Amino acid sequence: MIKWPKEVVSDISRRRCVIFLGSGISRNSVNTTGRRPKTWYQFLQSAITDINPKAHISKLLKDNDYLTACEVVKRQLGKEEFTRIVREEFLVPAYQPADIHKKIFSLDSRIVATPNFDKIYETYANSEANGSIVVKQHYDSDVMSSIRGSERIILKVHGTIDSPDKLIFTRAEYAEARTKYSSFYELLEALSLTHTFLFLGCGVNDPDIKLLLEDSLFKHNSSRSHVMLLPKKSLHNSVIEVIQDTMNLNIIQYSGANNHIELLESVTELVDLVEAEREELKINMNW
Amino acid sequence: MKSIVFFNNKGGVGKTTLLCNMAAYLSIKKSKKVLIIDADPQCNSTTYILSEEKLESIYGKSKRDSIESFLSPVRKAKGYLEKRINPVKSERFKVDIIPGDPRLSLSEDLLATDWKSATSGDPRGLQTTLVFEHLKLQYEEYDYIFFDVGPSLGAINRSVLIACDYFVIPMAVDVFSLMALENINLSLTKWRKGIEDGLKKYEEEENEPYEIYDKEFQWSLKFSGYVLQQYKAKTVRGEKVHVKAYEKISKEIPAAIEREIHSITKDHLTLDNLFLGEIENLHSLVPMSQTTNAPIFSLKSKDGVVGAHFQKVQYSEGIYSSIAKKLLSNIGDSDD
Repeated sequence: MIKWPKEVVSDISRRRCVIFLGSGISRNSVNTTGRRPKTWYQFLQSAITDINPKAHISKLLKDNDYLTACEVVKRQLGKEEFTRIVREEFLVPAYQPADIHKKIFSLDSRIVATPNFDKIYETYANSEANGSIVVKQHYDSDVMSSIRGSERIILKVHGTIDSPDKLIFTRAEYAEARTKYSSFYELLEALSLTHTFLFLGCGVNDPDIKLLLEDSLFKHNSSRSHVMLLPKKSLHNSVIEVIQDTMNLNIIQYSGANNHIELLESVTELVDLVEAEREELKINMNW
Repeated sequence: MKSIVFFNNKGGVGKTTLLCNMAAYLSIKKSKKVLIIDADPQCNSTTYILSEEKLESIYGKSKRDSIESFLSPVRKAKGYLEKRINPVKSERFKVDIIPGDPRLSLSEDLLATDWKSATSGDPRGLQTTLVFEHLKLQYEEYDYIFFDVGPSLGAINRSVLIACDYFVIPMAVDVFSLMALENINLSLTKWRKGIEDGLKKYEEEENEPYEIYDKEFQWSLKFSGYVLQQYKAKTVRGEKVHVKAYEKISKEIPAAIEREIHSITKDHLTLDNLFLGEIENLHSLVPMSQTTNAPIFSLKSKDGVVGAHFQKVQYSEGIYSSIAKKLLSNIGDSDD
């Protein structure tokens, strides 16, 4: 079981935490036929089956350059076909929420952010909360008002499968988004300075996350780190050291055995810790 | 009609919350007609389920319809109240209530003095003691009458228990709740013997059994289960406290229920059946439900529910549903 840092428990309890859900969280969902959403890597792997020749794309994937690989795939398949396979992967199968989604919702974080296009978490959260949770996309013009407001929000930082035209997925889209939606990135940066980010089911390769964290470390010389949970052995220890030092990230490792059961159990324990801490806050009113 | 009293002489065990929400659950989800009689001079269930405007309209008058309406004629030696009063409706709990009254405490003395003569078969003493039996018979059209009583083993509660068909014990997992069980045992044994002696002596003297409205009265109180109020492990300055004591005491509870309550009520229910359920800490929902005068399981966003507390609202409905199911089966009613 993960030993949760006191600051994490405290920040979530005081709702000064952004929970960031990566594709690893969506992976826990299945649909009625037992299908699971693919990770970025798996999705691109399956997308190139009909492309020939494909050795150049396979090489990009091997080098972890998913952005360029994705851009090439999109160009070769054509926009329409690409949109079709994206929808086919993330919308059509109707994935159901998994236990981990329920536990994350129980943490009652005010802000949950996710680069996932699928709607698994937001659908679950809104069905539980009778639609009272606001879902904001990176291209919405009023994200700021929601963050300043008091409602619970879900930030879709790369868009939603409901509007496939506006997804941030390929290299060109990433590049364009940074200028086009610069105000949104400013907001994310502001959040990273004032809130603790807890990354669940994310890798360290997402260019947005990288940029965000490197900036906040070097610009503002922050000593208070964000937290990322990673399965053991997904990175070499020396790499972890570099990442911790350059991205201001505290990486906590857990065993990925048994379908990441340790992650689910640890988040379940975190829910209890947060509830107890909030009970305490209710008494000392020191929030 | 079946009457059930929720009773524990240890206070602060979530008695009123449990009673009112069970009443609302049976009414809203099971279409039962439920009447709450607030026989606690502190009037907690009345303030819980009625809005402030309604309370103002009831208590603003000098002559008000409340539980006191039934007691004051008895106190003045005028016999039982002739015309029943109209219960008040609670909008959101969907149950009716005979409102409580702080003046009910004034009857404690009378009920205490007349008890002695009740146990020796004196008709006047029996009449006073059985005032709640008479009250109950006025509202036969209800499926269930729930009595809320204060946390005492005094004369008012004795009279209520004598009049009821069943009792439920809401309790907390603490050492005082365990001690309270022993007191309940001693009192129930004494009261039962007292009233049965009185009825026997009355019958010997008058050559007929004691009747209210041509119905022979008999002690019929049966135990129909207990509910635990659960505390989560608390962290105080980073240290978990109470956990050890909680586990130790919660293990002792079934044996104490068996020894102190089950053994004297001698019903056919197993100890397992008698455990109706455990109510988890529902955080902000209890105060929210009190300020909006609404059942916990039907709180909405307009009442102030936000975020993950909706999960708790649903969770609470599950708890009440399972407690209701067990309770109904324990009193021989079906769940549909």
